[in-house]
Amino acid sequence: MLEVTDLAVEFATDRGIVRAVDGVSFDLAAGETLGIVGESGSGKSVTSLALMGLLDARSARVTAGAMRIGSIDAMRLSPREWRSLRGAQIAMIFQDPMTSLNPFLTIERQLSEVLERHENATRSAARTRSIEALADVGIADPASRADQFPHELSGGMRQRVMIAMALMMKPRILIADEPTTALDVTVQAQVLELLKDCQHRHGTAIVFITHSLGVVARVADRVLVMYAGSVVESATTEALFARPAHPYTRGLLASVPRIDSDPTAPLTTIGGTPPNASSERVGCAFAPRCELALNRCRRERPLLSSLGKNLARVGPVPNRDPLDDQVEDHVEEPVERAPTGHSAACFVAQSEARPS
Amino acid sequence: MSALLEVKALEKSFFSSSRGLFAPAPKVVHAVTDVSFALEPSSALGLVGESGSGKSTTARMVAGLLAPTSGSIRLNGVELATASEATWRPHRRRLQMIFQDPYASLDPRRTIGDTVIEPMIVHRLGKPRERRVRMLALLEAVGLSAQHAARYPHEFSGGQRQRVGIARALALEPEILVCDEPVSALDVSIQAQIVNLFKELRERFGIAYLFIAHDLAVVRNLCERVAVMYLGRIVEIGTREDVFEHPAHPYTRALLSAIPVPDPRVERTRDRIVLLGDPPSPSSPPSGCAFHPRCGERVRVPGDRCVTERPELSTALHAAACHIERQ
Amino acid sequence: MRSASWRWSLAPSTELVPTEPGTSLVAESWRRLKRNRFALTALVFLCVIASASFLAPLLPLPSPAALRASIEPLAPTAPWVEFGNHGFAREYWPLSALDDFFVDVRVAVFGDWQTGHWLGTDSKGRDLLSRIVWGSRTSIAVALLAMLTSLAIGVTWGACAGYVGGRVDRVMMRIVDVLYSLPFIFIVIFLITVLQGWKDVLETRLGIDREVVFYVTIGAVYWLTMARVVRGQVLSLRRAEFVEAARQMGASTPRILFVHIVPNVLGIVIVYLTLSIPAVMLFESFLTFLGLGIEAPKVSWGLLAVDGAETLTPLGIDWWIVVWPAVAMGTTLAALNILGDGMRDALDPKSVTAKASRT
Repeated sequence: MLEVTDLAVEFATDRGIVRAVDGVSFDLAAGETLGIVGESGSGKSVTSLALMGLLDARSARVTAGAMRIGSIDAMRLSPREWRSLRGAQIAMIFQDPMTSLNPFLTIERQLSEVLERHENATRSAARTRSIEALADVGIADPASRADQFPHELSGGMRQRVMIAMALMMKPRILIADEPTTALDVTVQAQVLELLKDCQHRHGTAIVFITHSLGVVARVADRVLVMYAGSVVESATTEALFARPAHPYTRGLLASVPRIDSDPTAPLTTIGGTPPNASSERVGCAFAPRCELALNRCRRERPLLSSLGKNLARVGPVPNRDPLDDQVEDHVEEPVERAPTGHSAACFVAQSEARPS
Repeated sequence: MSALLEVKALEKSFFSSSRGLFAPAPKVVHAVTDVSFALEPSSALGLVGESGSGKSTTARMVAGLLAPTSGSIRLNGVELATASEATWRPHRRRLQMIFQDPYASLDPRRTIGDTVIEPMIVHRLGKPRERRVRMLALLEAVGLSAQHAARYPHEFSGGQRQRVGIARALALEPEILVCDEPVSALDVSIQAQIVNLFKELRERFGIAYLFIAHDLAVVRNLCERVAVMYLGRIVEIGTREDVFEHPAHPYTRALLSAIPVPDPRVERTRDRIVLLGDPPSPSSPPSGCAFHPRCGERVRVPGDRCVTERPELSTALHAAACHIERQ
Repeated sequence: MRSASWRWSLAPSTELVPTEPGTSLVAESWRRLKRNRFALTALVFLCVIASASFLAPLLPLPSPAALRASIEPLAPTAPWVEFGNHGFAREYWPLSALDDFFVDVRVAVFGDWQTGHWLGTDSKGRDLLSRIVWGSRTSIAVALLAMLTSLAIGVTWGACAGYVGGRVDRVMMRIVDVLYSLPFIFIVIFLITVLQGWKDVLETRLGIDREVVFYVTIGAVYWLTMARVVRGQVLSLRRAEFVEAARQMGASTPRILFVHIVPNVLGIVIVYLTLSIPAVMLFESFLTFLGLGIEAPKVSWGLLAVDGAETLTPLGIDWWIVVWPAVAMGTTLAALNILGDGMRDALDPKSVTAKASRT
């Protein structure tokens, strides 16, 4: 359905070239949800814009080994072909529904516009279908809501409208960029349910971008963890949460306060701050914050490699001498195609995965 | 022993802004109604709720940024709700505020050292040299390097800026920190650092917190007492165990079940209460219990009591404003 | 007030002066401005103009007021044809003490040597280059005056109105509206008429002459827009969290205004000033052209325009009298506009935070 190999995005800024996304690869099947987790500056939003062909070619350079949407090679599309593809095959919903809706048009006009553009639907047919679409996303009294303006709706309602609009043409792929971050928890729960429901009915594949590990645990089948522009770990949701392999993933999981953990214990933290996208680096981007980093981690960049069957251990990592560089490479060939098993871009995780 | 901070029957109403020539009579919007709580020295009270619940308005009133319409705010027995700015000023030292957005809460044109020194200048604490030494100590106390004092906010990450904001608040040695969503704008891995810093400062300086957040997991980690707000009122208040282990109000229960847990095994098996509809707008509150249009447990109350009669919040240590709990 | 009574014991690990100085937003902006070649060229050009104008009495230029007996204006002579001559005559209108001193220095250094008429002479035989350089002094004086009133009155007025808000804001901004709507040309004419009538009282005893009226008028008009611009900015800054933080810690209103708010609007103020100076310069020329501003024998760019208009006779085309002042004025105004645009781009704080915080 969606196949991406070695996606990279570079921006030209007045401080030189900045590589915002570096070597992202994944496959996505119909009806599947891929979660992309990362903090600000991890490149997750830039990835989604690249997938939608929405990056400005004047400032951003997108390269990829392959990027196929269904059977279409997205790397060869002209801006015009992109326009007809967007909305029909691949649609997107954003964090802030207010800025993605035109404040001067009624909800119905904005929905109908999609139909009129892609299908040359007549005015009245488009209206009927728009109202149906609103009913589909659980908006009560859709006929009267349809004639309201975006500012008359609540945040949750607006996000439902955005989902209705994105699903209007029954796209095969839906990219959701932090769709619930601006919403209240109770409304977030509703929107997540709605997305799942729509996915079941239409078999849509969803790329779900978020910073919240809890949301990922709830919606995703597979997860990519991004850090400083690269994928550091890729696994099924179960495997990732049960046996996190990359020290960053482990740190992230340990630092999130949970509603079901011991409230009095201090939170485990990852020291330092995420790197600046513009800073040049050698070796693993996470090494400066990593307690397990070896000398090798600072010299050489680990590639995303499959950890094989023998997955990383659960629980605390045994103490190791930080100068211990005698870790051999016991890993299979670095993956060229999208990784399917549990893989991590980390020398430590890879050495732990070796059969003992 | 009287509480450090005592808030009683606090109210804030706004007039809707359309006061043009042809607008109808000004409409009153009750942002906060009848909010009461107390804060003991070096304790932490969490104020949770969704947008429009009035939690930030409450914080701003307590911090002296907004004048209450009525009610009382007593700091060590001194009434401040009706106090003039001149009366307030000496007490501001004891109650400082931490803001939500680390990108907006620091003056972009001043070095972080100047930012941290400023409260001492305003309150005429110490001599210039002493202030400077103090500032360096404060930067280190919040986990920043004193070497960075001459840098500007834009040279720091969000988490570091929030630390500067905390150092600024600590400059006056407050007894209370009012924190308005202090971690919600930060990255996940940074949130934990800041929460731990809050805990550490409490141990070290005996600071009490009024902690406003929508993230219940963070509140649970930091506060022993929690108040849940809905549409301008406190609907449930109690200790951390009361509210999180034995939630009494249906809204609290729904809120707790809506929070995603970063564990797919838990996520896929637990029962989830999905509320209907959106939070109502404070400008047109529902009759009776404000939660009744979204409440799934209304059937447990006979008749239409929930629609007609507003449940009161008792003064018990663990109290919920709900008719179900009264029966 | 309590002093130096800290309860908490806190000591830093070092009391040394921080060794890592930061880059202020001003420094960041300057770095960006330096990369803009157009704006930098404009800035250099304006600096040259400004220093030439200030040092005009020191330059070996012919006198801007010395008349030559010939009736025909002289066409420009290229510097390589006649670089200079020894015909300098010390003829000026009453100059200030500093300018007199400058002329003394000039006479001591260059004697009676002066440059040739590189740009030609006007119809009364006065050297055009010299008149353009001397005339720029009026334009710059007017620009400085407008800047000062804009900064002193406009910024304070706008900042107070915007920060205090409510009724005070409404009253203050209505005053601005009223002043805006006054027809200033008529007021200038009226004031000058009054001045003629009470000449002996006002001009001789109080020293209020036409030039004072002219400068006061320009000063009175040019802070109005600034007040509006600043008020708009302050309205949005007033709700900024760092201002709330200052308020919460108990800072006084003047402190909040002048320590936090004004420095943060200064960037926009400077850009606006640069972009509005051309209008002030044009206003000077316009008033002078109408005969309400600078009077001969002094010189200003407005007066040069008057001279230019007078040469438009069917008898002959003395193009240089029109073209050179127009070129001088045009390039200066263009340079100001380019610089203003460049500064606006350089000062845009969004481009700083965008890079620093998100991708």
